[in-house]
Amino acid sequence: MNKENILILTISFFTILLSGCEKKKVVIDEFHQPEGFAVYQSNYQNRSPNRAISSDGVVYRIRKQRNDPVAKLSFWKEALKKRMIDTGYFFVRESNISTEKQKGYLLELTAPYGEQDYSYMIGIFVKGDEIVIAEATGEILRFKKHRKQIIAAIKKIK
Amino acid sequence: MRLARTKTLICFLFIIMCVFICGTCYAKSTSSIKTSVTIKVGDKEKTTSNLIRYAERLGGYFTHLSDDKIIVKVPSKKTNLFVKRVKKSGFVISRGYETKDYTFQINQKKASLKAKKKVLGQYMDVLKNSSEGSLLYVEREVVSLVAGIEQLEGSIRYMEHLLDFSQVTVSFRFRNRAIPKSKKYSSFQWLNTMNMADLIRGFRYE
Repeated sequence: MNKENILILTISFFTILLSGCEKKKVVIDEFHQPEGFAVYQSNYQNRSPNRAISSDGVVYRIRKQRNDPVAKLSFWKEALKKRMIDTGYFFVRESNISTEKQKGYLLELTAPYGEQDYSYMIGIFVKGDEIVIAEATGEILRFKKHRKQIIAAIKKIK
Repeated sequence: MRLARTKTLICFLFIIMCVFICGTCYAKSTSSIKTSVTIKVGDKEKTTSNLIRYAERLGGYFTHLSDDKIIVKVPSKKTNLFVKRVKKSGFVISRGYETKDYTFQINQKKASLKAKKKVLGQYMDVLKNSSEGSLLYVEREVVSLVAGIEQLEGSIRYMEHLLDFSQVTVSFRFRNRAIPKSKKYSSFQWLNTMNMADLIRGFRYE
């Protein structure tokens, strides 16, 4: 085997290896943006849209994470609330939220961000080995204007 | 006869209830109250002037006014009314409540005042019959006692004012501006990804 063949084989090997390292595809079954929000198209072709923004800068995103360690919603409710408060967010309210198919948890927080104070809403749904996370944030008063629409969009998650 | 007895019983119960309610209302509290509320409002200036006006209507007054907050003193018994108004004025983002008990300090100062007044009375009696030699000494003691009594009375008045008026701080933004720690470790991997700043940044730079 000459040097040229070895080089070709090595390049092919690393090409195959690197193709396996592609980021896990973010598949959002059906993305519903809150009413009045514009869908943010992803720069990555393999990603379906999962983000939206309002004209006054309130942002909304849905993503999935591995349910690791595998636990039920009641477990993640407590863990999430504790973690967020420990890191310095201020608790505003929490509630249960339901979509057509599943039950979830909605946590509302506030925190200073730069010169302004922001609201941060998190909705989680446990789907087997995945956790669907909906997040929205924006300056408190602007966020308040879109709150209902954001909750309505979270309720449409499938 | 039976009806009359029932009426008497009802009247008696009513009187007892009234006495109880009055007793509760007029019992002097020995704890000072400090309340803080952080709210978000659209028109800060309008809210500020409305709240100050309301505090004054309740018999209170404002002690501090700045862009970020107002501090008002309102009669302790009307604190809840004022806080309710504050909550209605905007979107509440945090609340705080603090009380400090002054029972021991007030009782101690009152006892000390009583004792000093008694000693002063005794000195005054001595002063009437004192000789020239002891006059200077008695006079000096009387001056010192009067100063002590005035100081104690002032201190008691101050504490009673703290009890009569509660302090309400209304902030229009978080006073502690520390941004939540984004890199705080959690044993659960996905929880480490929960961060408001990253969410905003994701929209800003892509």
